This record gives sequence, C-alpha cells and structure tokens, in this order.
Amino acid sequence: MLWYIARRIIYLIPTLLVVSIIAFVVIQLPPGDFLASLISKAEETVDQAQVDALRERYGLDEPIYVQYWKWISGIITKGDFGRSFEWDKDVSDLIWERLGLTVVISLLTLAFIWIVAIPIGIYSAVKKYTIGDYVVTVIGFIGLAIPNFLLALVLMYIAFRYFGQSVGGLFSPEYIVADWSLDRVLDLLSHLWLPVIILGTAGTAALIRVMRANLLDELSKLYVDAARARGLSELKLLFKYPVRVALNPLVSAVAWVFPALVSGSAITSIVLNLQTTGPLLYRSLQAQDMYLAGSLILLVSVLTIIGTLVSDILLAWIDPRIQLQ
Amino acid sequence: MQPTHTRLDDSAKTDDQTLLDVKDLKTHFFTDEGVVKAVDGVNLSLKRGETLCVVGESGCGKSVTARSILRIVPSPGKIVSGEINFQQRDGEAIDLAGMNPKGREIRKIRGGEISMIFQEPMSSLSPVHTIGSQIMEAILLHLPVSRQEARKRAVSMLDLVGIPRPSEQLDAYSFELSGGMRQRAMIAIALACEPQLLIADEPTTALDVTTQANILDLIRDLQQESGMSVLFITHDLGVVAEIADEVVVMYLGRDVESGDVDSIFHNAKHPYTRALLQSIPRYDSRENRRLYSIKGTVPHPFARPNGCPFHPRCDDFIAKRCDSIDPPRHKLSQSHSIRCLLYSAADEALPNEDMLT
Amino acid sequence: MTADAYPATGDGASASAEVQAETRIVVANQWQLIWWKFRKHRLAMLAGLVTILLYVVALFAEFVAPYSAGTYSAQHTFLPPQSIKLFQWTDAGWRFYPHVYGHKVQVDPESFKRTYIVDETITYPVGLFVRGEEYKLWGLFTLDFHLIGATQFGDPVHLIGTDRLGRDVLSRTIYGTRVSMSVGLVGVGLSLLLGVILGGISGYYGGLVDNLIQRTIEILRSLPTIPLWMGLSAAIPLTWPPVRVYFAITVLLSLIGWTTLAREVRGRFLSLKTEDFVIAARLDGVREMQIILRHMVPSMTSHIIASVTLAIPGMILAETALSFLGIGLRPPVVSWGVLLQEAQNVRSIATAPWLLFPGLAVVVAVLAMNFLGDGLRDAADPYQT
Repeated sequence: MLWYIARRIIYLIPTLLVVSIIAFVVIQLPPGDFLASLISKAEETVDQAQVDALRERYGLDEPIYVQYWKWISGIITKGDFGRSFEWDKDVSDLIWERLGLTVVISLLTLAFIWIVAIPIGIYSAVKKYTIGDYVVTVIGFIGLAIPNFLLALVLMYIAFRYFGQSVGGLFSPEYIVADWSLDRVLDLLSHLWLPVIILGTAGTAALIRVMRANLLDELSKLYVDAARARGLSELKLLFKYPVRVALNPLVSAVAWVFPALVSGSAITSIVLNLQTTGPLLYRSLQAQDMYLAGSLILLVSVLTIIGTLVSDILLAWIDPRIQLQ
Repeated sequence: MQPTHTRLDDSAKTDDQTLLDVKDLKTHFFTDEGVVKAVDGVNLSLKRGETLCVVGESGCGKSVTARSILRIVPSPGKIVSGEINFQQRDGEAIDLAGMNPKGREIRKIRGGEISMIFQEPMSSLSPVHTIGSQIMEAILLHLPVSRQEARKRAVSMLDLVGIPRPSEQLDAYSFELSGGMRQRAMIAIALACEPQLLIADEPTTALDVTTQANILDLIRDLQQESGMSVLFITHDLGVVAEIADEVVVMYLGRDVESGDVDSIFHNAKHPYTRALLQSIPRYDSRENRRLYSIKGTVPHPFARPNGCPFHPRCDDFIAKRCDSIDPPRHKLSQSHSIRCLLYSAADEALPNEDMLT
Repeated sequence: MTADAYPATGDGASASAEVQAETRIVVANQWQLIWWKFRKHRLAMLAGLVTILLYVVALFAEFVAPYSAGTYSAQHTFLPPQSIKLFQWTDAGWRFYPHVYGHKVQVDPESFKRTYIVDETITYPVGLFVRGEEYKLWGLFTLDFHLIGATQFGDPVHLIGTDRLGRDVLSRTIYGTRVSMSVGLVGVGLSLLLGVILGGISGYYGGLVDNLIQRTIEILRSLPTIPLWMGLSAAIPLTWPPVRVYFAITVLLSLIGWTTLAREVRGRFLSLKTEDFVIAARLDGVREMQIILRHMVPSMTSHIIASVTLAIPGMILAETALSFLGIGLRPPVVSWGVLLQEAQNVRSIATAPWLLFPGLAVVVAVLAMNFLGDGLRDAADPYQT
C-alpha cells in the first residue's frame, strides 16, 4: 500500500510540472511585460530603483526559462507567488482564504452528491423500469443538461421574485470582512446550502446514472445468487455485496467529479458572488493582473490533482484488486 | 461407461426416505418478447443420501429447475405451477413452491437445509470480501454460535475441503485463489451448516479435467461422510456415470426420461437419451467412425414445437402423432419413466437391442 | 436480438415466418442492425428529431427568425412576451384570426420606470410565411420571407419579448442556434481529429508511446477545465475579428476535449487488435494500413459516432459558460452564451425574465444530444444483446 502511494506521488511530478508551465504561459500571454502595465497604471511616477528591483526579482531581462525558474522556485522555496498589481498586495495574501473556501464548498458538494446520488441510484437500479426509475432518469438527464450558472440564475430569480430575498454571497454583510469566529462559521453554513445544491446538481445526476448502471451490472452477477442461496435477506444481501462492489467506481469517479466541481464552481461563484477563487480569477483576468491569475490557475489545478490522488488512494484502499495490478 | 460404485438396493427404500419430490414443476419467464417456458413440467424425486443427476443440453432448463428449488429464479422468471416437496430436518414436509421467495421460511432453508454451488467459481465469490467472511456469514446465519466459534468452524471447513493452510486462506480474496481452490471454497461455504441437500449446478464445467476429478471426488467423499443428498446438474454423461444413483434426462424444460443409472445407461428408451449416449466419444470404438450428432439444433425458446418437443430432431418420429400429441409421463418399471409416444401404447413393442453394446 | 427477429407469440409461431425473420437478420448489414436497434429506443428517436430540427433552424436562421439579429427598436425595450391568440371574438362570433395584443406604455411619475400594460384593443395579426425584412440566405439569395412574424411589416410582434435595446429575443436565440450548435460540431470535429490520431497511435502501437499519451491524457483530465479556459480565452486579444475569436475558442475547447474521444478510440483499438478477424487479416498478409482502414475503423465507427454525439453537449455548455462570462465569444457575434450575458444579474432577470429564454434553448439542445448519444451508444453494438 505504501509503495502504491509512493508510486502515485511520483507520478504527480510531471503533472505538476505541466500545470506550472501552463500557469506560467497564462501569466506571459498578455502583450508587453507586466512592469510596463504597472508603470502605465501608477498614478505617481514610479521609483526607478523599485522598478529595477522588480525587474531583477522576476528576471524580466533574461530568457524565458530563467523567468520560469525564478517564478517557480520563488513559489516552492518562499511561497512567493508574485504581486497583484490590481490589489497592490502580495498574491499570497489574497488567495489562501479563498482557496480554503473553494475547498470547503467543493468537499461539501461532493458529500452532498454522494448522499443524494447513492440512495437514488440504488433505488433506481433495484426498481428497474418502474415509474420511479423513469422519473429519476429523466430528472437526472435534465440535471445534467442545465448549466450550473443558469440554475443559479433561475434560483436567484425565484428567491428574489417570490421571497424578496437576495441569496448571493457566502456571508451576511456584517461578517464579510470579520475575523473567523463561531458566528462567522455558522453564518457561512447558512449561506452554503444554495451553492452546494447548484454545484451538486450535475454531479448528482451523473453519479446516479453511474451508480444505477454499476449496480445493475453487479446485481446480475453470480455471487449475488450465491449469497442469496446462503439464506441472506434481500436487504442485507443488497448492501453487503452488489452495492459494496458498485461503490468502487463511485470512489474513482471522485477523480473526475472533483475537478469538474472546482471547475464548475468558478462560474457559479461569479454568478452567486461567492468569496472563492472563481470570481477572483475572473476579475484578475479582466484586469490582466497576471500573477494573481496564474497563481490561481496553478493552485486550483494542484487542488484538483490532489483530489484525484486522494481518490486513487481511497480506491486502492477499498478495492483489494487495485494494488495487485 | 460403467457406474463405478454399487447402488443400494431399491426395495429397501420406503417413501419416508424421499427427501425431495418435485411434481410437474413449471417455471416460466415473462419477457417483453413473449413467455419462455424454461421449465415446463418437470418431475424428479431424490432419496436421502443419494445422488440425482439432471442431464441435458444447454437451454433445457436444468439450471432453472435447480434454482426453482431454492426459489432463486432470476426475474422475470416465476414458478407458475407444480410442487416442490421437501422433508425438513425436523421431519415436517413443506412445499417450497408455495413459499414467498423473499420470505423468512425459505431463507432458513437456503444454506441451512439446502445449499447450492454454481458453475463459475470465479464469479460466485464476491470480489471484495474474503473467503472467510463469506463462510462465516453462512455459519452465523444458520447456527447459534459466536463469531469466534464461527471462525473456528470456517477454518475447519476449509481444512475439510482440502484447502492448504486454511487459517491463512481464510483471509484471502477470491482473486488470490486458483479456480479449483475457489470451487473448494464454495463447497466449504455450502457445507458449512451441514445441509441435507446439496445442489451442484455444473460445478466442474469451468474447471480443467484434473481439477474436475478432484472436485468430484471431494463431493463424493463429503457426501459419504455426512449422508447428505446431492442434486447434480450436468451435461457431461461421463460425470453422470461416475456419481449418479438416479438420472433425469431433460429436453426443452421436460423430464423426457428418468430412472436409476443402470436403466438409463444400459436400457435407455427415449430416442433423445439414446442419441445423447451415442454422441459420447469412445476410445474403444472399433472403426474411425464419425461421431454421432443429433440432427438439427435446440429450437428457439419462443418457437416450441407442438406435440413432443423433440419430434423435429427425432429419428423415430411418427407423423401426425408425435407432432400433435403431447406425450404423457409413462412408467416403464418401478424406477424407470419416460415421455415418448413410441412406448406409451405398448411397452413390449420397444426395440430390444441395447444401444451401448 | 431485435423484436423483428422473433414474433411475440409463443408456441403458435409459424416456422416459415421464423425462418424468414432470421434470414433477414443474417443478411442485414451492420448499419441496418444498428438502425433496427436504435428505432426501438423511443426517447432517442425523439431526441434525434429535435437535434435535426435544431440544426435545420441553425441552417435557415434568417428564414426562421422573424427579425434579423441586430434589428432594434428604441420604443420597445424590455417588451414582455406576447402570446398568440388564435381566435378573435367579433359580433359575428369567433373567427380565426391569429394575433397578439399591443401594449400601452406607462411611466411611473416618481421613479420614471416604464411598464407595459396589455392593451386588448390593439391587435397585430400574425402569420406564417410572411414578408418582412430582406435578408441574404447563406449570402446568396435575397429573400424577404419569414417562417413566422407580423403579417403587416413593421408591427411590433415579439413572441418572446425584447431585450434592453428592443431587439427580438426569439430572433436572436434563433441566430444564436447557428453559432452555439456549430461550435459544438466544429469543436468536436477538431477533438475527434486529435482523439482519433493520438488514441489510434496509442492503442495500435502500445508500449512507450501508449504510456506517454496516456499520461498526457491523465494530466489533462485532472486539470480544472473552466479556470484554464478562462485564463486562455482571456488572452485572446480584443482586437481580433469575430471569426478568428470563434475559431480560437473552438480550438481551446477541443484542446482539452479530445481526451475522452482518444480514450474511447484507444480502448476500441486495443480490444479490436485481438479480435479473430483482425488476426486473420494479418495472417493473410494484409498490410497494416489496410487492416486499420478496412477492418478496424469500420467496426468502431458506430461507437465513435455515439461518443461524438455525447461530446457535443459538453462543448455547447462550455462555450455558453465562457461567453456568458464575457471571455468567450463577444458581441456582435450572437450565441446562446452571449445572449445570456444580458441576464447576468438578478436585477435584469427580475425586470425581464424572458432574457433567460436562450438558456432554455441550451437545455433543450444538451438534453436532446445526451438522449440521442445514449441511444446511439446502446445501438452501437448490434451484435450484442
């Protein structure tokens, strides 16, 4: 098992390398170097010595690979992600809370998806071709077809039109800039349900279908009959054998559901005005605040890669066949 | 093709020796395309301590018969009529066909009084549970023992079926065992609660020849030790000759001929049985004769022939009789019955040469 | 087995019909079998029709839409949808007279907010195949026929209402169909090209090449697509002409979208490689290229078509999302996502909920193609029951 985990982690290295290169490319994409735009934006004349210091720090006069090296080694050794010129702060001061909230929302949504999708998927498979199954299937397809942001818009409209409420945001106004406290956490939780449902819809629909298909496969396997022939009751039988086996692909589904969640939350967060990485990335891209944008893309990618790794390890842990391969 | 062991004397048996008695069992599958009459009137009876072999080509309904007894026929299959009388351990006789297939009563029978092993040892064990957890599950379901005792019993069962290092293998997963070992593990699970009847559904078909022989020997040894009855489903007449006391030959969901193993092998009457016996390759055949094969193929389940279901493939087919009259079950002797119009009018008219000599 | 093969009657089936049905199956080619199997899937058939309809609308957008995408009317901004009334009550009784009611404008004296009030005394007749604005179909034929619209040219008939500039939402959504549905097709086309080439190489050669391509796919799949798309498409210069932006966006979408198709192709190649008919062809000395083109590709085409159909909705959703944020396609290009930009916040939706109508088009299109792809996937292997 340890060896398996170690191998998985070694596999991560090229992935991380590619991700960092992509993020760096995004930083480099806008025309001109960022110092030029910094100088043009600054209201007062900029201290030439300071400009030279920045030039030195990012190696702007040197070849592109040196620049990359300076950038990535700064991140790894000092946690220095560069500077946001839009905010006039170090990137690292801006991103951690938002990244944390992204993780919290994504994990909660993942839990929501599982809690809803597994029982419905089981029901749908066991009651195959009944009205309930058809209803679930159709709702599932519709859930897959509605873009998250559209669902967010519709729900916000309904809340606004019929309940007179504005439901965006993650905090009530008084807690937005407050320090973390129990009250703030509770306030956060009371705002989280809407984004969680919106983000979870597509994933839930997809996983219901996965669960149903897997369970249908497993239900027809001989070991189910064998267990039944041992005198096990239908309910115990269902949960101990086929459901247990059908859950494995669901664990491995985390590997693609999690990136999709982080990815999808970017847009939904913008619509719902959540304090996560999405809106920050959006704004930084619009303002061409490239160190912030690049760092966000890098960190969000690393986040999903870690999610994939965790799901791989989980799967190896619950399915004894995996490690053998 | 001689039976390899002596049979008990028939006359010594009385009726209370009958453990299982299936009467006119019909199990049909109600699919969208139509009704498949997988089992359409099967009779069989099995005495205590004996082995009954059910033989037939694939698709003749032998597996469905076996599953009907345990009431684990897959949907959309249903028992539509017939009786499955079973003598419980406490002496009370019950009709399994009348039970709720999901009820408590039948669950007590399954695994406790009647056990079953399947054709594919690979897929009949859960891929994500250890062998031990599956044996212990059976023990804990039917016997009043603690987990520790169950574990001890599970180890001794693995030992009994000849799995080496049983206490280690208890924690092995099915994919870590070979095919033969898996089937031994299945047998250990099946016999863990000392059932009165073991149903073996082609347990050796998926195994290689040496392993087949080992498994057959194992089943026979265990049967002799415990005195259980065995209902053995197979298409392999060689296996039948080796282990059967009684034989039922099935064709298209019917028992076309049944009797003790001597009658079937040396005095087969039904054209289908005779054709089956003729199509066994023999190493001592005199010339390089082409192996006999039954003409035609098994008809599609939706297109059951009228009259005797075998008539389109039968060499002795009587026009206007066999294709219109459904042959009734007819007793040739105390232990030999047949469904064939050739014999129902007068048994004396039967051709008297023995097909095997 | 299809229903055509075996009549639903049990014992009484006549043998000759049986034989005929069976012969029909034996001689039918792969595509006939797929079609027979697909036909049984009612929902997928319906979805197929809807998909075809959407592409027809996209093709004839100028004709189907009552107005052009840019036509605006300053007097009719945020006009609510008008519903068609088929009959009108006159002194002589009901008469067939398809029409919509007109509106009166009321301006709130304090807030200066304009509200429309339905005025049942004004009616605008509506008809099919009416004369309206001139347009050039596919840039070739100058026509002025429209599928539906006001019978009298110039009447303000807006079945789904208008946006903040008084542009007809229905017409714009119909024009959006062209861009949104084609982004899916073009994007998937590019993905397919990449997917077939790389997946084919990976599956056919195996070994180190396979390993390399598989790792690449794994890396790409573990990336969060939307932030990446956001980053890359934000870098598209604002000065680019719309057509170039359109292609840049589709290229971006397919750069990440090809992985699914490549996996599918690779999987098929791997399983086909060991099929008897491929081995037989190789033993007969058929050249490798010939084996791939004549034997392997035809037997996986149906699967590929199914996967492609299932990949299109993802592309449509991605384009919609990016354009919605304003970093994908940009006005004056009209796509569903661009149109939804108008509905970006609750206030504008609260004033004009009908601005969400393009969203309905997205849902219908994605739903239809998902059902269609699902049905195709089920039918793709006609030899399996």
